[in-house]
Order: sequence, then C-alpha cells, then structure tokens
Amino acid sequence: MSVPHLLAASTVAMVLTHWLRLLPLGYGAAGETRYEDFVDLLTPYVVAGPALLVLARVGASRRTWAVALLGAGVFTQGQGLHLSSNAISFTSGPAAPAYLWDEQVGHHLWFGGLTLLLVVVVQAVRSRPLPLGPVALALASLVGLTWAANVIEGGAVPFGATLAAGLMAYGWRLRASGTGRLLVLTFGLSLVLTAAYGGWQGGFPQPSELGWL
Amino acid sequence: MTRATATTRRPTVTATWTAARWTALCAVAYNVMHHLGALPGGLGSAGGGTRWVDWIDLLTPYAVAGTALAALAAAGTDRRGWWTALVGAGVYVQGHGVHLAANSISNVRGDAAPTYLWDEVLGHWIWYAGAALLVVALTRAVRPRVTPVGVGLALATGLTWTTNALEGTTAVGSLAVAIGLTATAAQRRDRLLLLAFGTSAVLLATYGLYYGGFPAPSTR
Repeated sequence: MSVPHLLAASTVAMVLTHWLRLLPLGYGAAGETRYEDFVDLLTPYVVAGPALLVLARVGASRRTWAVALLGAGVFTQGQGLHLSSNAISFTSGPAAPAYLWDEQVGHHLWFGGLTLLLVVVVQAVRSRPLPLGPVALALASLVGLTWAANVIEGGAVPFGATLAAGLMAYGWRLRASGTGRLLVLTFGLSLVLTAAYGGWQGGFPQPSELGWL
Repeated sequence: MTRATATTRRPTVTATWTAARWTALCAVAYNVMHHLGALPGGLGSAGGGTRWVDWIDLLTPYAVAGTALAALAAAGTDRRGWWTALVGAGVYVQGHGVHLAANSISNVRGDAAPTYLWDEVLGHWIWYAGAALLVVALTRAVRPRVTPVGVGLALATGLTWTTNALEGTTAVGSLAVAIGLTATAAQRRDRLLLLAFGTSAVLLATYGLYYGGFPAPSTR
C-alpha cells in the first residue's frame, strides 16, 4: 500500500473504532460483556498499525521510530485501561476506581499517545505531496468530528482541546504543505465543534449523561 | 569487554555486548515488574480506590517492552524479528493495560463478572502472549554469553514465568510456550533460554501433576 493509502486506512480505522459504541451489537457476549468490547480489542492494531507502516515506507530514522513507538505504546496502554474498566462500568457501575481508570487515566493516556503518534507521522510525511481531494477533506473532517466527540464524551475537554490547539498550530506552521492544511482543517473543526457544544450546553456534559448514547 | 556471541543459524542476526546488556535489563524489569502484585498491601492506598503499586505498574510496559526493543535495535535484528517484536510489544502493552485496570477494580469491588474476564482471562492471556512473542524475537537476535549473572537472570525468568502462569490462570498455555521455547533452545543450543524455560516447563508440569491441575497458589 502507498503512503496515502496507509494514512487513509489509519484514519478510517480511527474514526470507525472510536464510534464503536454506536453499533447495535448489544450486550450478551461471554462473561457479561458487550460484543463491541471484543471488537474494540482490535483498535490499537488497526489505528497504530498502518501509521507505523507509513514510517516503514518512508524509511524513518531510529529516533523517529523510538518516539512513534512510545506514542503507540501510550495509546495502546490508555485504550486497554479504558476498555476493561469501561466494560466493567457498563455492567456494575463506575464506582471507584473504575471511573478513574476509564475516564481519567485511560482517556488521557489514549489521547496523549495518539497525538504523539500523529505528530511523528505528520513530521515524517510533511515533505510528501498528499492528495487534497474530496476524500482527504472528508476524512479530515470526520477525524475532527470524532476528536471533538471523543474529548467531550471522554470527559477530557481541557486536555483534548489543548492537544487539538497544539496540533492546529503545528498544522499552521506546515500550511505550505497539504499535510499541514489537513491538520488545520481537522483540529480547527474539532475546536469549533467543541466550543459550539460548550456554548450550547453551557458546559461539557457527556452526551451519554444526556441520554444521547 | 564481555562478549555476546551471535547465533550461527541465521547469518543476518548479530548480537553485541550492548544488546546483551539491554536483554539483561529486560530480564531484570520482567522479573521485578511481574512480581509487583506480591508487594505487601500493594504499598498502601493511593487514593481513588487505587494502591501505590497500581501506579508503579503503569511503568511495566515501558520497562519490559522498551528494553526488549532496545536490545533488538542494538542487535540489528532483521525485518521478521522487528515485526514479531512490534506485534509482541503491542499485545503485551494492551494485555497489561486491560489487566491493570480490571485488577485494580477487583481489589476494591471483587471479581464478579465481567471483572474476572478482563483481569484474569483476557488481560493475562493477551499480556503473556505478548511476552512470549517478545521472547521469541529476542531469542532470534540475541544470545548473551553464559555468565553467573546470566544464569541467575535465566533462573529468575523461569520462576517468574511459572509463578505468573499459576497465579494468572494461564498455566496450560504458559506450559505449552515453555515447552516450545525449551525445544527451540535445545535445537539452537541456547543454554540460557534452555535454563529459563526448561526450568519453567519442569516446575509447571510437576505442579500440575502434584495437584492434578493448576490451582492458583493464592487460592490454596
């Protein structure tokens, strides 16, 4: 697969796996879990896997690999912490320490690791001409929407919005390239959506608390 | 300078003293971090329903998988070795994370479903499968010289693999891995690997025969 295809694969995987909770797969898998919990076990591989393949394709340096693997590790660890504690919370409630591992430690590590991995991949492909067609713009918009939804539902708005602001600023620095413009679109949209939600609701209640999920 | 010999079965593989040192560090990290659960009272409450040991345990993937990957980088492993290691590291980190949160919750709220599933079943099986893949990748690339320290670390690794298998309810799978790695070690004449996993295979098999199964020591 080419670098643009691998980037698209990682992006599609990120969007799909972060919306798994909307799947009507239901509760009733083995051990009092939801079927989507088991599907969610694939998330680190389908998101970080293609991103790391991009680094292999572009012949990244050892230092780049080290930082990317750190990001992928933090992302995977956070997602794992979140996954098990979220599955337990769904069945028996979020009493301590489930809420801590799911919403606080889990989500913050997850988003932080994903951001680190994203920065490394952007750095590695910034000089490559990426197609800025409708598909790329649509994927960038979907990631922006997904990021906003995740930081709001994940109870990590200050952290997630700070990361988005940083990524948008980084994209602005690279705005001469297609990669930079996609980054600005993605995280600018995310910030706008997050701010609009906060203004509308007068705060950042989680959609699940409002009965939307 | 102490020497590490390269395996002769795969000419693409090289091993250096640096690789041997990283492998030794990996073994130390594995033996220490995989016994954190034995610390008395988990070193006490850290607030929010957690214990201090839970927070220290967040470092386990970096200490173990990080040093393993550093050893492979120092040894200049081949492409297959890297893919084995990267998949292994991912699986290791995921399983450990799944286990850590569920185990911490179970310390406070008990292990009713689905906590037991995420902690003892999915968590441990995924985590230890990742550890096994990392061992396979290291075995292909690094063969440290047999020294007293190496022998001590190999024995400790065998014991840790055994205690984790018994307490982690993965004894059957862990025994199969130990037998497989023992056979590989015999074929490659890798004495430290043979010592580590041969010891574990013998201990697990003996335990299983003695008790007619693999009850966790903590439940006896």
